[in-house]
This record gives sequence, structure tokens and C-alpha cells, in this order.
Amino acid sequence: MFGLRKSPANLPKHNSVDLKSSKPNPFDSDDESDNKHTLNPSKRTTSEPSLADMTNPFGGERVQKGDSSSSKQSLFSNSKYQYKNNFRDSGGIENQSVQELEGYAVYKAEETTKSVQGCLKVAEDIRSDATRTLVMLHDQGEQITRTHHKAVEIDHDLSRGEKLLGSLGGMFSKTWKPKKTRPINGPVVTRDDSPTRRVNHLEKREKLGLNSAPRGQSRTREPLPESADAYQRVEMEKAKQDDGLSDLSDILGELKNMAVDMGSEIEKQNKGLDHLHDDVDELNFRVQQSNQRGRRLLGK
Amino acid sequence: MGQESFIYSFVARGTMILAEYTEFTGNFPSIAAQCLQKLPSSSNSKFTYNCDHHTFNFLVEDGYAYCVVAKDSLSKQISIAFLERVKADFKKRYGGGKASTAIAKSLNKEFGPVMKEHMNYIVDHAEEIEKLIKVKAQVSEVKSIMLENIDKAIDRGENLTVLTDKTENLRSQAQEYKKQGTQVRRKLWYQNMKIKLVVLGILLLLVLIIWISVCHGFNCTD
Repeated sequence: MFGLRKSPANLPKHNSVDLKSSKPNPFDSDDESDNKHTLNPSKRTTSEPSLADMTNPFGGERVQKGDSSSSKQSLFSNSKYQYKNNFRDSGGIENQSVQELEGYAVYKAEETTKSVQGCLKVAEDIRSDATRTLVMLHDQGEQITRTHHKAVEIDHDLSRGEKLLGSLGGMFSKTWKPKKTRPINGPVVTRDDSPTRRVNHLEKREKLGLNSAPRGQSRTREPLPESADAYQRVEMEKAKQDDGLSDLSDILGELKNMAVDMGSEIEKQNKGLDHLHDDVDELNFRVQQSNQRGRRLLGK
Repeated sequence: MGQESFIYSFVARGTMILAEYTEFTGNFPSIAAQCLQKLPSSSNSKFTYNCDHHTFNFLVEDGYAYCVVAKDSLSKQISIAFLERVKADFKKRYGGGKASTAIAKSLNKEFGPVMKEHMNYIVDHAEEIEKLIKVKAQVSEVKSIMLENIDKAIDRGENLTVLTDKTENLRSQAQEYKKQGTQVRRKLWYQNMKIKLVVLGILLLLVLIIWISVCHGFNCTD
């Protein structure tokens, strides 16, 4: 699918394969006698492996000059180097044979598959981080709620303290009434508990180890035989890329839901914090009043 | 292959068309040129106009405008993907300065076939491009939501900082309250003790007075 990133526009016309020729599929051609497909060796640079020396570097066939695996390896790595270099050292893409371009297409397809798999891995890492973040946010939300409950408890204790301070004035002193600007209500209970449920669900998944399993590898594809031609291999890579992209799309969907949940959780916490601010302000004011009353009692 | 989704395309510098390509005849070049005149050249952005079941898509960047006229059955994203490809190719070929000095329609012969190739490529790979566009859109959606979340988290952080200051203040006030409570308790305990001792003293004094009055002195043998 994404094997070749550049459009046919980037390949000059003289290099295109004539589809009206006797061969039905230009990729099947191993016959290099046709001048349409090949260039004279004189035009090649020394760094390029000569096609006369080998039948197909990608089809797993033997190199004719020698059976040594080292020479085969060096040829293959040389090709890889050229692909990475976009054939700059060997006259550019225009001056390559069909066979080399087939190899290049396979190489590019594999590279693209690798990058899609890389994206998928990154997305999975982000998902696991997002899960942890969501769990952490939920815990922090609960901490804020607990803090708010504590503020309510402080309010109750303070009310008792104020009563006692009021009764300590003595017989002839005027009674002390603490000022209350507003009642302390405690945490606002929201009906929507979906993030909580979601977090519990995610925690369960995490404990079961379901989130860490990469989904990209779930689809098993039969490996192609060694004799498979470049076209089949590119098609297989395209299929892998399609699978990777659909997995990536699924993960991104999950990430979106998680991001929305994070947003709603943070928003809920912000609202809770606003209420807590007001309650803490009220407590501060009342403790200050009680302190003034205490000082007055001590001063008598 | 005879693609019929893309009708007409051009690349312009300002309002001067440098290269154009079409396989059809019609009034779309003049409509596109009119649209080009109205484009705000200063901003780098994308514009789409609809006219008679056709979309006129523009991509403006660095003083150059890239346009494609397509049938409205073709999605906007595909048209934009085409314009992005044309832009990249145009910059690659003429970025060195040739484009800035080129006269009207002087690049037709060179760049026209290139635009044709891009049209064919985009139409041939529309499904694949749409898949990629969908994933890109999902990524940007998640990114925008997360950017909002970051803003919210920053607000939350500020809220927590303010709350920390307030609770710190409350803690110091509460410590003061506790200290004063202890002092008040101690003071009241002393007061209480003092009262008890005074009452006890008075009682003892009363007992003593009664004793003296009954016994006419301290000798009470009778």
C-alpha cells in the first residue's frame, strides 16, 4: 500500500515498463536481454552489483560467482546501502534495471511496514501510559474528595469548639456568637461515574496483562515462499501495513476515549477544587475568629 | 487510466498562474482564476469553494497558491492530499528560485504532466490515502484533546498550589488555635482551682468561727 512513497511522476518515462510487451507482468521478468529493461554495464558505477553475476538477489537464488555466503551477504548489504542512498552512487533511480527496482520496491515496502509497526508500538506505549495516568488521576480525585470530607469533619469539630468558646465568657460578659458567612457542604457528588468504572475496567485489564499485549502481532500471516516474486512480497507488505494501520486506528480510538475521560476527570477535579477552596477559606475565617475569641479570653 | 475525479489544477505565484493542467473543456479555469483573485495571499491556509457540483480547493503557502477543481463526490481530504503532493513536488523542483522569476504559464510544459501524474496517482490510491488521512485525523483529534487536557491540568496545578497555600495558612491557624486552647484550658483550670481553694478556705473559716462561738474559745472540755 505504501511501499513506494513517490508517485510515478518521479520516475522518468524512459524507465517505465512497456505494458504492451509480450510479458504480461513486468515484475515476473528474469530475462534481462530486453534493452528496454536494462542498461549497458558500462553505464554502471563500480559500487553497484552487476546483474550478470547473479540471477535474483531477493529471490534467495545463489550468486553464480561463488557459493560463499560472505559474498552474498556483501552483495545484499551493498544493495541495502544503495536503497538507503536512493541509488545516488549508481546513477540514480533512472539508471536501474527492473530487477533492481523490484528489489527497491520490496525494500521500501518493508521499511514502510517497519515504520507502521513502530507507530503501533509507540501507540501501545502511549496507551499503557494513558491507562496509568487515568488510574493516577482517579486516585488523585479520590484524595481530593477525602480532603474535602476532612474539611467537613474540621467544620464539625470547629462548631463544637465555637460552642465551648461561646460558653466560656463568664456570667456578666456578653455572649459570643461566631460569624458564619456560608455553610460548608463538602464534596459535590456527581452522578456520572463512568470514568471510575472505566478506570476499574482498565485496572483489571492491566492486572490481567491484556493491555501490554501488542495487537499488531495478533494477526498471523503465512510467510511467503522463497521463490515469491517482488510483486507478491510488496502485496504482502501492503497487507501487513493495512493490518497495522487498522490496529493503529483502533488504538487511537481507545486513546481518544481515554483522553476524553482524562479531560472530564480533570474538569471534575477542578470543580471540586473550586468548592474546596471556598470551604477552606470559610474554615480559615472561622478559625481566625476562634483565635481572636481565645486571645480575648486569655487577655481577661 | 482515465481519471475523471480531478478536472483542473494549477500552481500560481500571487495571482499569476505559472502552470496549469486539464483534460476537459469548460469555464472552470475562469472561475478558478476569479477565486484566486479573491484569495487572501498573506495567510498560509486552505480554502474550499463549492460551485455547480464541483469543489474548488486552494492551498496557499509562502505566496504560492495551489488549486484543484474536483467533482464534489471526491472527498475534500483527497483533494487536499493532492495539493500537498503538488506543493511538495513544486517546491522540490522550483524551490531554488526558478518559480519566483517564472512568467505566466511558462511552466505548463514542464509541470503540467507532473500534475497529471499526481492526479492519476491520487485517484488510483484514493482508498489507501483515505486510510492514512483517517489515522492522521485521529492522531490530530487525540492531540487536540490532550492539549486541552494539558491546559486543564495546568489550571488544576495552579488550583492545587493556591489550595496548598490556603491549607498551610489553615494549618498555622489551627496550630495557633490548639496552642490557645491549651492555654485557655490551663488558665481555666487555675481559675477553677483558685475558686475551689477559696471555697475550701471559706468553709474552713466558717467551721472555725462556729467552733469558737460554740466553745467560747479554743478550750472546749466542758
